[in-house]
Amino acid sequence: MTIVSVQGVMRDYTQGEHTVRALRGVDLTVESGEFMALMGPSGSGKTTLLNLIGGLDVPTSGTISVEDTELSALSPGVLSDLRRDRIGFVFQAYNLVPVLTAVENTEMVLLLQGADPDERRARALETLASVGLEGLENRRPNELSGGQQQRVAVARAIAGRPALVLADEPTANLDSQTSAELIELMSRLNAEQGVTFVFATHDPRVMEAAKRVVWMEDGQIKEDKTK
Amino acid sequence: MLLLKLASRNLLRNRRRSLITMAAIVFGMALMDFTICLQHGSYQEMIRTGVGSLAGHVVVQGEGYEASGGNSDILVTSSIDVADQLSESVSSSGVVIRRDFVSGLLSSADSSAAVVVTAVDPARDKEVGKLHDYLRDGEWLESEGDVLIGSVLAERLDVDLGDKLVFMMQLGDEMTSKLFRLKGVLHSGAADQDGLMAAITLEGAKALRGTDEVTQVAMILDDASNWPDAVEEAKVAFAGQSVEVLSWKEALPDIDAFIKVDRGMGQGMISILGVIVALGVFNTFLMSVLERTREFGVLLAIGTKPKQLTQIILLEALVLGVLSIGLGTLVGAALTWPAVEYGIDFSSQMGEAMTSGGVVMSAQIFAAYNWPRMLLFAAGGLVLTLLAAVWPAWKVSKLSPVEAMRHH
Repeated sequence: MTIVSVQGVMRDYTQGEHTVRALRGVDLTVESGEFMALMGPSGSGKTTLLNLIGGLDVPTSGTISVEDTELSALSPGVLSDLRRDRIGFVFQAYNLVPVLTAVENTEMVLLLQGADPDERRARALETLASVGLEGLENRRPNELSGGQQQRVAVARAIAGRPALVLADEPTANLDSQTSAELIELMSRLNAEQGVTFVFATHDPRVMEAAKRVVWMEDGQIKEDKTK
Repeated sequence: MLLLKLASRNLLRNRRRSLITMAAIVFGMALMDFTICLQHGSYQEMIRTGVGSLAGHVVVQGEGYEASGGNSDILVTSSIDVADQLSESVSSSGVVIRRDFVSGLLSSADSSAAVVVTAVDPARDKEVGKLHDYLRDGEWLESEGDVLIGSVLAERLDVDLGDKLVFMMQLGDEMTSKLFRLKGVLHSGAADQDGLMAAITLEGAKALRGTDEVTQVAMILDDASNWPDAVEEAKVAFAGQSVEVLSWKEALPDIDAFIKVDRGMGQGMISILGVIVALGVFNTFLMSVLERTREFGVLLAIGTKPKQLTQIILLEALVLGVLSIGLGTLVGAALTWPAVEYGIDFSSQMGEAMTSGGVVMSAQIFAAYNWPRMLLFAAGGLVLTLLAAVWPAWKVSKLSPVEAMRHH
C-alpha cells in the first residue's frame, strides 16, 4: 500500500529579490512498512522534502498525497489533524517540551487525539517501555541524556500509532554508540510494529540500516536504491 | 488537565520573571483594594455625618424649601403627623426625627454673631444624630431654654456654661427673639463649623416660632443601603401633599457631588495603575512567547492546532491572573484591616478636622471593606490580564511550523 506519493514537486524560496529553488521536480513513492533514508549533501533538499511530506510546508507546484489524501486540498485545521493522527516527527534537536516529563511528552499527541486520561497514560508508559525507557518516565528532558531524549522523541512520534514517521537527522546530535542504539530501536519498531520510517540523514549507519536509500542532489533525486 | 499543567509549568520556567509579574499584579491589586476601602470608609462617614447632622436617608421638607436654598420660612405643616406618616410608609427600620434649621443672630453680653441653629428632639437626636458626638463641655440639651454652641463661637461671644444668650431671628416681616442659657459647648474640630453652629431643642424653636412646624422631617435608616426603596415608598405615600420628598443625595447634593468627583478621580488613578500593570503582563507574555517560538513550531508539527496554542497562552494568563489577583485581594484586605479597625490619622495634613462637601470630616479616617467593589475590580483585573495575553496568543496562532522551528 502506498503511504506517500510525491509527483513533480517543486519548492522555491524567495529571499529578498532572489528566488532559491530547493526542489526541482521530485517524484517519489513510499510504501507501507518501508525503512527509507533520504541521503545527500547539505542543501540537497532532504529536509525540504520531509517538511512537504509532513504537511509542514507547501510545494510551489506538484502534488503530495499521504494515504491517498492530497495535502494541498486540506485546510490548515485538517492538515493538523492529519499530522496528529497519521504522521510522527523526530527532529535532530529532540525538541521535547522542557516542562513536561518523559511520559507527559509522550502523552501529548494522545491528548491531542482526544484519548481519555487513563488510556493516554497507559499507552504512553507502554510506548516508553518499548523504546527502553522504563523507570525514566517521570524525568524531565534536562534530566535525561541526549540519547534518552531522542528515545522519548521517538516514543512521542509513535505513541499516536501513525502510518508514517518522518525523522530529520535523528542521530546528528548523538555519539556513535547512542546513534547505533537508536537506529537499532527504530529498525526494531519497523520490523515488529510495521511503522514506516523516512529519514533525512547524513549518517552512514542509517544508510546501512535502511532498506531503501534515495540520494538527492541539488533538489533532485539522483538515485533510488532498494536493498 | 495536561494543558493546564503545561500552562502552570510554563509559568515556572522563568520563575523570576513570573514572580516579578505576579508581584506587580499583587501590589497593584492590594493598592487598589486599599484605596477603594479607604474611599468607601470616608464616604460612609461623610454620608453618616451629613445624614446625622443635616438631613436623613429620606427627607421630607416643605414644598420649595430645597429650591429656595433653605428658606427657614418654608415649613412642614403638621410635622408631627408627617413624622408618623413617614414612619408608617417606609418598610425599612429606622428613626424618624424632626429638625428645624433657623438662621439668626446670637448675642451675649459682650458680642454678637451670625449663626445657624439646629433645633432637635434631644432624645432622638442623641440616638441617631451627630451633634451629640461633638459635645465637649457641659451637658446635652434637655429643656426649652438650653442652647449648645460651637467652641469657636463660644470664644468669640466670650461665654461660659450657664451664661445667657439671646437668639434673634426674622419671622416673616417681624423679628422675634428668645433667651437661652449655654448648656454645653460643641467641638467638631473644623473651625468654620465650630464658629457657626448652635443647637436648641424643638421646644425652644416652638417658643420662637409659636408653632410645631419645622423645616425638616427626616428618617435615618438602620441599614443605609435601603435608602432607594425607602425614598420611593415615601414619595408614593406623600404624593399630592404640599411637601417634597428627597433622598439624602438630593438633600446633600454637595456630598453626593464630592463623592462622585472623588470616586471618579480614584477610578482614574486605578485605571492608570491597571494599564501599567497590564503592560507589564503583556511584556511578560510577549517575551515568553518569543522565547518559545521553536517549541510552538514543534507542537504545531505534532498536530497541535493553532487555537490550542492560543488556549495554552490564555490558560497561562488565567493561571497567572487567578493566583496573582487572588493573592493581591487577600494582601489588600490584610493591609486594609488596620485602617478599618484603628483608622488612619491625617491630622498632620488636615488638622483636627475639616469640612468636606459641607460636612465635618474627622482627621481620623476609617476604611471600610467594600467587597462587591473589590470583587468587581478583581474580575476587571482578571479580564485585563487575559486581554494583555490576547495579542501574544494570537501571534502564536499565526506561526508557520517550519519557520517557527527554524527560530533560535
